[in-house]
Amino acid sequence: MKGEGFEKTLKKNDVLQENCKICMHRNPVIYDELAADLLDEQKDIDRYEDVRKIEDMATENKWKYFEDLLSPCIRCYACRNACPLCYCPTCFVDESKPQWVGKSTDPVDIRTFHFLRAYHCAGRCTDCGACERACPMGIKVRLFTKKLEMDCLELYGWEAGLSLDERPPLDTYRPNDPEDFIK
Amino acid sequence: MKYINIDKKNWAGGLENLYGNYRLFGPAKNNKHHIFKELGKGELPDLNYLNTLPSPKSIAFPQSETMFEYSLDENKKGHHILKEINKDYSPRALIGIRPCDAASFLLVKRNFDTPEYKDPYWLRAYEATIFIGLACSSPYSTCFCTSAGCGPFHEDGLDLLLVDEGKNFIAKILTPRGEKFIKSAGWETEADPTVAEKIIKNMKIKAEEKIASFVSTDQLKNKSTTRLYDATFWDDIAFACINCGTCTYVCPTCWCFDIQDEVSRNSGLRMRNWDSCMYPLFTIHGTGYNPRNTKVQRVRQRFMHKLKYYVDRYNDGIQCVGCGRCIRLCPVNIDIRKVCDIMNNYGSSSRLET
Repeated sequence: MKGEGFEKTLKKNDVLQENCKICMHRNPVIYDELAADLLDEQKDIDRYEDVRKIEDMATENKWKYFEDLLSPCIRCYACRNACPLCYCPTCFVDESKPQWVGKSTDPVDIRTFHFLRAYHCAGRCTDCGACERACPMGIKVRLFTKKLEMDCLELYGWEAGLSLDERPPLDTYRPNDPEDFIK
Repeated sequence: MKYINIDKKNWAGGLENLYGNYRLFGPAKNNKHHIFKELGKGELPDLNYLNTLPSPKSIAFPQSETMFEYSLDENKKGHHILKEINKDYSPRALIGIRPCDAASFLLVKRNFDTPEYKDPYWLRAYEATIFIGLACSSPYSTCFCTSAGCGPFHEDGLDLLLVDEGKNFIAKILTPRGEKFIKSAGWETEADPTVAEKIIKNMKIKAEEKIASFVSTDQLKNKSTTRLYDATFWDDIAFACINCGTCTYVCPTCWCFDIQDEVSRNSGLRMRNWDSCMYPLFTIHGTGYNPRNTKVQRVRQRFMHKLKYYVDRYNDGIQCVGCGRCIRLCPVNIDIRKVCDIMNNYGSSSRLET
């Protein structure tokens, strides 16, 4: 990197986006033409280290963690608007008849937006990182979507974006779907 | 003009003296960026910063502000009557605010303090605030204050300007409120005005030279509003926009808000929240009709408001102080400097301006 009066060498891994560092599909999965040669895919990557760290926290620590994570949110909705998955004509936070969510900086409303956004992307999010990149406040919003991505992989053996024909797990039913949650 | 030398050794002690007389607000590092926050006893503002990521407009104009409370319980006295909420409007000091941000308060004042309407919440908070500016010596590459009616040593809107000289600050007293503030801190060493003035002048010239980007605004007033409005360049400008509200929320001069009632069981609050012209909900009518239904209409509104309607209405430059936050934080790199130049130069080669 060169500029007026300075020169600096950066390590690629230090400036890569977090999601790119742990990307398992550096080669396009679906394409008509390939513009360059295929690359070696990364191996021995633990995609979910950060999610497991949070899962291992005690309940109150977890709560505190998410509280701190979302405290800088200004509700600009850049994460939502940058997301390639969001396709609703009117987002639930923008509905006015009726209005589902409060408009203030009330933490409950802010959490409602983030949690619902994440759940809405479950089984569809490919961890492209557009949300995190767009956030002006530097919130690691991917942590929410990643947990659901991990669940989809562990529960249904599902990775989003690999097939055009298969229906995503939350959109379909298979007799051998896990049913531990039905008591 | 009076100048005081503040030895940095006496900085913490002076703030200690001020604590109690003023609520002190200053920049503090929050994760990766700086924000303005209220300082606790003994807490020092972190003045080793370029600027805060969010603007300090929330000091007088919080993102959410409760105005009234009410009860819907008919068994209670005074039910269904809005009651104003008591708030702390005791003197507060914004320490280390950048000159551009201080100037932005004067722009916002135009909206909240008019002959017809006086916004009590903003005005009370504003009047309770004393502005202690910190002159800029190293700007961002996105700063363009010098061509936006402002500058790194600009004094408008400030009560006191601090100039960092390394071991000490030179404090230039700009108002009686600033003088009172200095006195209650106990900083008394007067600086020789001629020397201080010379030092500040030299530093100012150097700082201004570092501002490397500019906007041209001289033609905006002469342009036909309808022609600018109908111009074809808006499609290109809005093309990449994802219609988030980042630019408006981080902007120190965006002042729009929306009023909402929130009721839980029998008690309710009436509040106002920041709103953004980037959102479809901003203009949607009760009928469902939306006069600004498309992205390009909303993007045009933001720039026309700041760079044309405001210019025409107040005849005092653009509604922008050149802080560059919207440029730095826009997820798709829309640059108000470019938009301003496009508007300013639009149709200049032809009288038809089409």
